[in-house]
Amino acid sequence: MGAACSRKRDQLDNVDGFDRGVSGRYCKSGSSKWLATTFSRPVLEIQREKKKCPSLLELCTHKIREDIDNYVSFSTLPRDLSQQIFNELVKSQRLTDVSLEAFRDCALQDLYLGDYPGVNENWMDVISSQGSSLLSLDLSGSDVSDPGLIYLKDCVNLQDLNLNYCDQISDRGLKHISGLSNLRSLTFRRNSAITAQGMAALSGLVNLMKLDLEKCPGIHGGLIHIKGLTKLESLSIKWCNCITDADMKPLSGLTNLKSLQISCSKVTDFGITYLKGLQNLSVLNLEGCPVTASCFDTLSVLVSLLFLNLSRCNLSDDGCEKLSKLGNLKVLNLGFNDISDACLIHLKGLTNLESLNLDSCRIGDNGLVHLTGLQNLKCLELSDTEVGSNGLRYLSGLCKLESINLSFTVVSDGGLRELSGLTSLKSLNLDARQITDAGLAALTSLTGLTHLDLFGARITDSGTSHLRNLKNLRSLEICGGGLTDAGVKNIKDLSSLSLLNLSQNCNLTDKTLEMISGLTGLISLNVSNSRVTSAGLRHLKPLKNLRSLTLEACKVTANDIRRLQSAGLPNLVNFRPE
Amino acid sequence: MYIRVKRSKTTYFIQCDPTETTLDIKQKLHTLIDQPVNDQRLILMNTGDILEDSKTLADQKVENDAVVALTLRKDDNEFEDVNIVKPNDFYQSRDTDSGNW
Amino acid sequence: MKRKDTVKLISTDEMEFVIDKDAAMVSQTIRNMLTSPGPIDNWVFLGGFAETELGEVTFPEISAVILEKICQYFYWALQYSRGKETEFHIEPELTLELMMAANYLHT
Repeated sequence: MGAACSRKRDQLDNVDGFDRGVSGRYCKSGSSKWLATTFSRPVLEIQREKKKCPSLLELCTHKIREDIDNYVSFSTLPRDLSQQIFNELVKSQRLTDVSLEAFRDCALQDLYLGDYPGVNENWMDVISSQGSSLLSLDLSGSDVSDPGLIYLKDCVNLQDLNLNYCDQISDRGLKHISGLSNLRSLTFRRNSAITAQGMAALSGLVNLMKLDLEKCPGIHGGLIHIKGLTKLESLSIKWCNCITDADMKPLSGLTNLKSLQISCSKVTDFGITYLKGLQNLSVLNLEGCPVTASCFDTLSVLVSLLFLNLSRCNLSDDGCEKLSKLGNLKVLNLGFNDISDACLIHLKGLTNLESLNLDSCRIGDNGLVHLTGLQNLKCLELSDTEVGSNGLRYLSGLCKLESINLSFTVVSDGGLRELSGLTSLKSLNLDARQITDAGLAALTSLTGLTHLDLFGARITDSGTSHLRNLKNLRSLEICGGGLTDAGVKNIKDLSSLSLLNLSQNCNLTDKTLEMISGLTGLISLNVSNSRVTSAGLRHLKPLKNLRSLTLEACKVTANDIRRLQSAGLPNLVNFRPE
Repeated sequence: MYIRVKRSKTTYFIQCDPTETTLDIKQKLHTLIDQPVNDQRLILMNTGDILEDSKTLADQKVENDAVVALTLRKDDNEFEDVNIVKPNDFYQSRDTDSGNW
Repeated sequence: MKRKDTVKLISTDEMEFVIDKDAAMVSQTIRNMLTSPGPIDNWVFLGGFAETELGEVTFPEISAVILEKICQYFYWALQYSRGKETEFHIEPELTLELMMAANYLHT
């Protein structure tokens, strides 16, 4: 059947990878969160439509998975089919060093073995037998060491190589991949053995577009070797606290760079000056770098810059007038800087801003007046600021706002009226003690809300009646202690909920579990510190999607939950007590 | 449910219901093969039982996916013998590879 | 059941399977063929199989054993979509051949 069988191989999302997790499975590092979560919170999506009829192809794949030990070789199969079987075995964790043997010489293109248990040197022979067909290889988190990489010499067409968290690989291993000149993406996160000397091996990788050396503490001085990799579009050296201003110099000619992440390094304003030629740079992450407002002189000439993270830097009001030069920015993070209302006046002209983070800055109501013109703002982070009710009036005209965080501010019930017209709002965080039932009354018009955080707010049963119309809520947290079973009655019909946190309401009983048993979309449930007992657990049996269940400080033991798990909650993977 | 009616090299997949009679099935076959129902005989393969026109499939233990042989009346008014061609031996080319597949 | 509502699938070893069009259309490949406009008396050659006349398709690379299994799957899938979620049995020795055919038929 030859060519007719071949389908296009799954395209990798390779755009420029600021939030690409090769196989989307591992998340050992959350430090690029500021980008991924800028616009939308990562939502646990649930499949709730009717079970789809499995295709014959899927049924065959599953059947092979069940009988895998009987197969000697898949090398006679068309490549896309052996690839599909391989992926299925990895997904179901049925692949072992023994069954791997059946994939020898299968001309597979993608081997995503990131964080797969047991991967070591012994796997490399079969991996290398894919030869010139192999395009993507993910060995992150494996025990593969330097000699193992010798095997990759035959895989001359390899484009994507992921060696994150491979702590047995050092400079010597790098040498073995120096000839893989077709590599487009190479990632080496958290490797303490790689040094500047070893990085010489990278100089021949002339087609490299993406290089990720996050948390490699020994690479100071090594960037000189990537000076000639002019195709590079994305470079991450964040959390490499060895990186200094001198390391910026070799980057000055990498004019194709679109994304540069140097957070938590020692780079200062002087180092930033080396970047002024990077006319294609659109993402720059300087979180935690000791830079000041002086760097805005350089940043203002970066005409493509759209995303700028300056949180936890050394910014103060001094020199902040230069912020006004960054008129192209769409996303600006100024969180955790010592800036005040006086700084916000200079944001007035940044009318392209869609996301602004002022977390823990010294700003108050008077500063917000300067935001009224930022009509494109979708996401505003004001957590831990001095903003109060009087400031919210300046936000009432920002009708594109989709997400506001007002946690730990001094906003009180009276101010929430100002938000009632923001009908685009999807996410609202009101985790603050002074918010009460009365405040919720102002939110009933916000029917588009999907996330509502009332963690510490003092919500009682009567307040929950205002939630009844918020039918789109997927995530709800009410943990102020004032809720009883009677209030849960108003929550039980919010059928879109996938996350529900009602912990710290010590009067909730098994009756609550009974009432929420119809919320079959729930993925995460927390009713800790309540009067829930093991007898109530049976009500949770219909919650087939539940993955996380937390019932700390209840009359429930880990064994009770395990029984529930085996009795019909196969998706439950996290639970407490455990 | 459906049954598989086989004669010679042909298999007819017939959708049906356990409450339908053998005659109902023969009528469906009539539209496919132009043979009057009186000239058709159906035999349940796993028991060898000849199916009776008036009885339902359920009565005669004809279940989903059952194989039923079709024979036709010959010129001499007798029914032909069951004749179902077996497919070519599928494993001919791979019989050396015993045990594993 | 009318003759025009059925389609005849012919295996490489010339065995014939007469099935409902509804069932055959479970296969995306067959569906495309049956629903694509064009003169019906012409030989239509589509990636390896030929539709010789109305409602008759020959699969030169699929054996009878596999083709019958595929037809059984078609009916199983119809039942599944009507809510009858049973298990579909696959003989282990057929699996690889069946998988190739399923891929070819987009099934």
